[in-house]
Amino acid sequence: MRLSPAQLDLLRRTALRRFGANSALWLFGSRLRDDLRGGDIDVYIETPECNADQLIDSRLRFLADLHDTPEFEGERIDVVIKSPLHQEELAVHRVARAQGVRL
Amino acid sequence: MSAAQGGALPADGAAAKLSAALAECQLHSSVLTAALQEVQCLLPFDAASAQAIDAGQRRLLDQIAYRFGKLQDSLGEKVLPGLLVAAQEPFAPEATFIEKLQRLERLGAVASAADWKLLRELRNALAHDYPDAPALQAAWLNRLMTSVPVLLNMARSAHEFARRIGLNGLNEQDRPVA
Repeated sequence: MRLSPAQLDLLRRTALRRFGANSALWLFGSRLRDDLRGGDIDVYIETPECNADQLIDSRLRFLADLHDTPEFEGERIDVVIKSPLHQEELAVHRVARAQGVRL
Repeated sequence: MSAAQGGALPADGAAAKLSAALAECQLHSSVLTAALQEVQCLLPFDAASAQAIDAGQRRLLDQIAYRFGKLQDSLGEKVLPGLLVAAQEPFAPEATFIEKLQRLERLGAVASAADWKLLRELRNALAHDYPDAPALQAAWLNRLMTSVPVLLNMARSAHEFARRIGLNGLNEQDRPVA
């Protein structure tokens, strides 16, 4: 795990603020591996939000909030979202849940 | 007196670079303004219309996304840092991007720091598609289109600030289009 406790806490709190208390958050991808360096921060979020405009707005504000902090300034964060608006489950959704760490 | 109050720009080529970057922004702004007018008849998208975009419409949307990215990049990487130098605003070496952005907002060079942060995230997500969620694809396109005037307004603010601090070589023809 190559994120600090402060970063993990910020991720969790920011996701709850922007996607609601019923959202769930996973960290997956290269940042889970201690033998690698750098790389994007891959985040997977499941949310019951059904309003498409709201979901797009939440995604932008989630990232803007994180990039506003010294902990995430300049970090590349890749967000994958699963909502009821998605017609089917994608492979990346399954991989994120299966291999990721729920925060 | 600081440059923001009418002082001189540093005479080291920085003003010329800034002027060139502002001219670049003017080109992107002109193309974006024309393309936005052209796309109006398609707006707003819904799940059905977002799935029925034809090749010509796709080219138009791609052109808007491309110029949106270029304008945001030019402003963020060249114009805004250049304006901070030109305005001779003192900063601690450890000053963060957010502190600089807030200073630019106070000076009037950035119309809204909060909007700028969202435009930056939008720019970073330009390649994002939602092929599995047509309603989200439509909402994404609508958000991009409604953000174009916000970005154009940022370019205008930056340009007007440059004129206020006496950047040479800017005249009425250089003003970003409305």
